[in-house]
Amino acid sequence: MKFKYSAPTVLILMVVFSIATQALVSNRISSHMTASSEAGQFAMMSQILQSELTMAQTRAAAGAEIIAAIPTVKEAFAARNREQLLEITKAAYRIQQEKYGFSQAQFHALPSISFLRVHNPAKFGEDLASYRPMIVDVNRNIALRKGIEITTSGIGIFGTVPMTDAVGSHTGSFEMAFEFGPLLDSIKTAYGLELAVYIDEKMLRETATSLKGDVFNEQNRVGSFVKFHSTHSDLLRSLVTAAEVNVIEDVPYVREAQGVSYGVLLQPLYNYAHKQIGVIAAARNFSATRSSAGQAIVWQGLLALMCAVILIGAILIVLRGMLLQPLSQLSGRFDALVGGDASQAMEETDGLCDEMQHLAQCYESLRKLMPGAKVEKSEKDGKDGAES
Amino acid sequence: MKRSRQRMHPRPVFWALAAVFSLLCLPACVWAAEAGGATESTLLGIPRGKGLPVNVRAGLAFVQLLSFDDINGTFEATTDLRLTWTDPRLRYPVAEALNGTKEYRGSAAEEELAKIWMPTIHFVNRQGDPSFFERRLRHYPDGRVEVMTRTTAVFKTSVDVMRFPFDRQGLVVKIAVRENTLDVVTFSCSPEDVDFSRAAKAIELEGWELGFVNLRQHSIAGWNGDRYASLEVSLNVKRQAFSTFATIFVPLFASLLIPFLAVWMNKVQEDGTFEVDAFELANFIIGGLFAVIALSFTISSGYPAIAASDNTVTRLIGLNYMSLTFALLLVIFLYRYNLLKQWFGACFQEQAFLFLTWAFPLIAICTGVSFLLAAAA
Repeated sequence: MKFKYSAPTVLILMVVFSIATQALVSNRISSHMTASSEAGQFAMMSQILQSELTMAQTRAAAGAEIIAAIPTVKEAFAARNREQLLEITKAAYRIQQEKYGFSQAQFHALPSISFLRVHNPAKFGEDLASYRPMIVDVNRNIALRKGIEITTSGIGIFGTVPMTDAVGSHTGSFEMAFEFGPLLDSIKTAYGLELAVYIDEKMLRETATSLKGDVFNEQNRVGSFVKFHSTHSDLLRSLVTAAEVNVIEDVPYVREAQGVSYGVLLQPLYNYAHKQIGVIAAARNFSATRSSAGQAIVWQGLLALMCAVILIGAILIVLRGMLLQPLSQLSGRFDALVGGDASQAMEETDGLCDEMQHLAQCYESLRKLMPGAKVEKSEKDGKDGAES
Repeated sequence: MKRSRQRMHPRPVFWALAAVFSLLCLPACVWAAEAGGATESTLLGIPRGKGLPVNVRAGLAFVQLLSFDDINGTFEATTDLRLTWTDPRLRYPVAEALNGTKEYRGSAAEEELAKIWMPTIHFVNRQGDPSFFERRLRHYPDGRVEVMTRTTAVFKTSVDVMRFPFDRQGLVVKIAVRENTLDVVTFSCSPEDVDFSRAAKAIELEGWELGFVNLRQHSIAGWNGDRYASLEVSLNVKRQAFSTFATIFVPLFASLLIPFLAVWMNKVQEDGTFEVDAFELANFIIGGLFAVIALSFTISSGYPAIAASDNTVTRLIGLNYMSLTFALLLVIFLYRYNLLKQWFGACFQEQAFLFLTWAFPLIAICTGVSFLLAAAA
């Protein structure tokens, strides 16, 4: 075993191990911080979706309650006067539709018969019980209900209230609904998210019989779902594919689209009957977070390398420069001395450390004491001159 | 009595009747004139039929990208701005519309637009007057109005070169409503507007890759707390990094080799002294310094935006200067004055020199590469 190699090797390995451990730990810490930050953003996205959906349901219910409370509406509905009811409500509905995004307004006779669709007066009379559990519930329990449902014209966010006549007898129900499109657009404007809603294609085809055919095309199809509305088609198409969309709980992930990292949250969408009917996707630009995380790795790596190089240099310079090289020189001179050659003096001992200096001085003393040893001419001349 | 009933002269009666008739007709004429004038001015007024604010849907498509000057932060493009709003006063029977709409182009469109209300749109970041301007008006039976404006102009955009050469820029067109506050006119962007707002497939921009077009609604502050609707349409472009390597980064990394010559060109002799004189190596370093100064000046004059901010190029130039400084200190303190030899002995100096022959280039080159990796991250 050579100390010249084994000692520096051990020390360098220890240095590399320590610095690598330190770099790994700090990288894990910064990765954890990045992950926490992204988790926080995902949590906020989830909260935004939930609260906006809840607010939309509340607004739908509020709109329905206002209309349902108008005495002339109550009177016309109690009298089952469809034409008068339409006359009273159509102007108000038009304003709500044009300015506030309401898409449906419908009166239901007991138990769940469509009495008047203000948005489509020509269609009425069918029993809605098979696909509108909310109406059945409202009329059975005579209580306000709100939620998401698939109807013949698509999907909406409904608020349904019971209707009563002038004396307070239950006469039926009334509902108003928002479309998803304006809701998603308003969330995008307010929060900067890109959103899309995907609905189970089979459920949509079974119930939304009035839905236009352009929804059901290959471009909108994502696995077993149909993209019903999107705030940015091209972007969401590259972020949400058939492999991810089939979720039963909140699923966050990060994906790149055209070189930009986006955080995508997929949230299952449930109807009033608590049956999953689709998925809402929300995407946010995560490039700043990811870029910071990448830069942190680079700077941590560079710092670790610099520390390692400096420490390795210190080990090599001190070990070799202060110990091994002077020792090697002394060792060579001792070898020569043993062979009878006392001519090699140890020069410049001032630069040696104290321990080496003592050894060098011992060598010099020994070299001068050697009888019959070859001495340098200059030393011999100096000696002869002194004797004479 | 007979004499008293003299026949009245017809002329005065005629004039009296004429005067009475005129007096009766005058208000009617005035009313007609006022009514005719009110109709025209009503159409020019803000459409209030659907309440306020008037919702103007907007989308902007990039038809052509003529140039992008990332040094001065300008780009020239042909854009199609589509504005859609509803004016109930402009409804007409469906039978009157050919192909479902009344369409006007060019001067006919300008004539029609002069008769109706249109939001006053201002291109906030447009420089100078457009070199091409044409409008098309579509007028739907339900009162919907669609105005398409094709413009070729130079636009100013901010350029952030911090991550050069891996930077992304946004070619931004910003429009704002003037004269009417947010309570009166507001922008909105439907998915159809987002789909409309894209770059034409045929567009090619040398040295850049095109990305998505994003729309963002803002508001601009006015007087007394007023706010005006604003829309920012941004076409994202990504620089093709490798095109800049040959012109900028290869010279920068090549000049980084010059300080290393201070250690590579020398050698420790058996007696502990250095083979090459300090003077000769100092010449290397001073020559390298001038080379870096020239390179820095060339980059500053060719790319002033890069020279004025913190980015990979300025960091590499700084690294060059630091390496030259370190090499010069080596020449002075190690080769000229042999300080390490005086303090710690010849062996220590020799080992220190051997360490520097590999550690100095390693740290410098790794630092330079780290700058590039950090920009790419």
